[in-house]
Amino acid sequence: MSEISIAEAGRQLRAGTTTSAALTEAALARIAAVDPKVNAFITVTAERARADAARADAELAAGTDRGPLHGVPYAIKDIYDTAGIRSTCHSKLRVNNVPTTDSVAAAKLAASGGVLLGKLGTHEFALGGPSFDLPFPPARNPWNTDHIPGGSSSGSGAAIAAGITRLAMGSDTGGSIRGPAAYCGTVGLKPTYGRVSRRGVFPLSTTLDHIGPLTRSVEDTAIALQILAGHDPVDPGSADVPVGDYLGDLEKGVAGLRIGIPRAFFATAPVSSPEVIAAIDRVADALRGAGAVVEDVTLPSYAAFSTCGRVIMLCEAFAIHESDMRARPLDFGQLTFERFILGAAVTGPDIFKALQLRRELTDAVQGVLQGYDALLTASSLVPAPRFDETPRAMLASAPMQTMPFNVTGHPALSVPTGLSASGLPMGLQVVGRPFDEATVLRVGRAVEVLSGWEKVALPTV
Amino acid sequence: MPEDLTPASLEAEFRTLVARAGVTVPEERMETILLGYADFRAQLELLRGVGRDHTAELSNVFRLPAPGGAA
Repeated sequence: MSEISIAEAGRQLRAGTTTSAALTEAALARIAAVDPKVNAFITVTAERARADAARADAELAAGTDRGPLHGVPYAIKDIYDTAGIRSTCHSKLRVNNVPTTDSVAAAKLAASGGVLLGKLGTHEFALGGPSFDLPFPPARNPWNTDHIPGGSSSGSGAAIAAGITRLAMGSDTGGSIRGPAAYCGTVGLKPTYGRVSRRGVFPLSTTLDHIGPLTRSVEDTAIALQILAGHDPVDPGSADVPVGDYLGDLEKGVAGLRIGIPRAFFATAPVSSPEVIAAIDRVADALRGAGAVVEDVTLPSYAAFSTCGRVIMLCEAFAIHESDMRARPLDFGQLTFERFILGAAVTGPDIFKALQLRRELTDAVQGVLQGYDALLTASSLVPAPRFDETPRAMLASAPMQTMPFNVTGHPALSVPTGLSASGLPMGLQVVGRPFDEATVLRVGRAVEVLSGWEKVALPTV
Repeated sequence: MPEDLTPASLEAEFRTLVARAGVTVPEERMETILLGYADFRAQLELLRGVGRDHTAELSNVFRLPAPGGAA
């Protein structure tokens, strides 16, 4: 199933050459075969999946067509509320939590006729991991299970790379969609802040939180965003901005587009892989060859973005978990506690200055994007590290380059660029103007073609 | 770590701040937390070292809708 795009699955379903039941049974069989090795799932909803598939097939037979996800399997990160299905946040504190209503995103995917396979592993409360002291084991990278899949949408990245599904929902507060996408060789979109409702998704840091899809291809992402995007008046961060056409421009190429590279972000980083940087440069050359203007641009220092985002995130996260941090500190995993507690050390003036800085940084990115259609930079500076190489403390020198666009809210897409010599995926980010996901996806599609990634087979697990 | 902050004073500062927040840090978790705090404290210095005047607005200054929905 995972070798067939969502669009192709839709064509086959409508031609009668496959059924949703067949796609679903194949996905469930794949889960049974590989999930014991990659731990992508916390809860497999086989009964729900079979019921969804039977309904999808019956509806199509009766002439009811809910659109491109109709009858197609997908999975959801376990911080999303799902009615009647436990939603644990990968934490002892919520291990028995069974919501009574769906998150907005879960409801939209269900209404689109998709087939819910289950709930995916995460870092605890989308921050603490990878950890071995939680109720469920950490997800592993299907390209090499000794390596992390990235986080916090770790199960989402692992499920796609393991060939279980083409669509897995994630969340991204500092890179939690784009990091696993880069490490697992998937596409991952953090939409513009406000583009997709976060209602019913457990928050990590409300002013930095975004939700979005991880998928096998850019086209799959465009299909998912078309379903998920839209204003939600009950989500205070949701924006009342018309939804674009995310599929119409995908194949238009990059001729005539202007693309900026904030090279200092990754060229001056203390830790980076020459292979990752070389892959970005190869893609930049290929984009030039395809007719884009690609040139270096200057943004404020990466350290400014990183500091701003980390202070806001830890402060907001601590505020959300303050009561449990006081009353039940030992019920948090050790990593989670170690990270959340830093938010208690942020003073009022610190957060005030971080919010001043956030405006300056957002204005700076906006200013550069007045002259460019998109930016291109690293997602992660290195391929996925081994579990035993991952530092316990969350350090400023972490090799992710994703936080800047959580701080500013701009849409950002991680797209694979190839495999490293060690056989692990590498990726880059395409960043765009607010609510211009259509151009981000168009450039991302060009990267997917020019890098040759669309011809790379999934790993053998 | 900021130059004028010794490991002992860093730990004392951290203990004061988390006590103010009402959290009891399990002692067995303190050593790793202090490593993270030293790194975080260095980042905080980047914020604290920047002077801005009273005209610098915050990112979350908000705009209320006008009556009747006009912008």
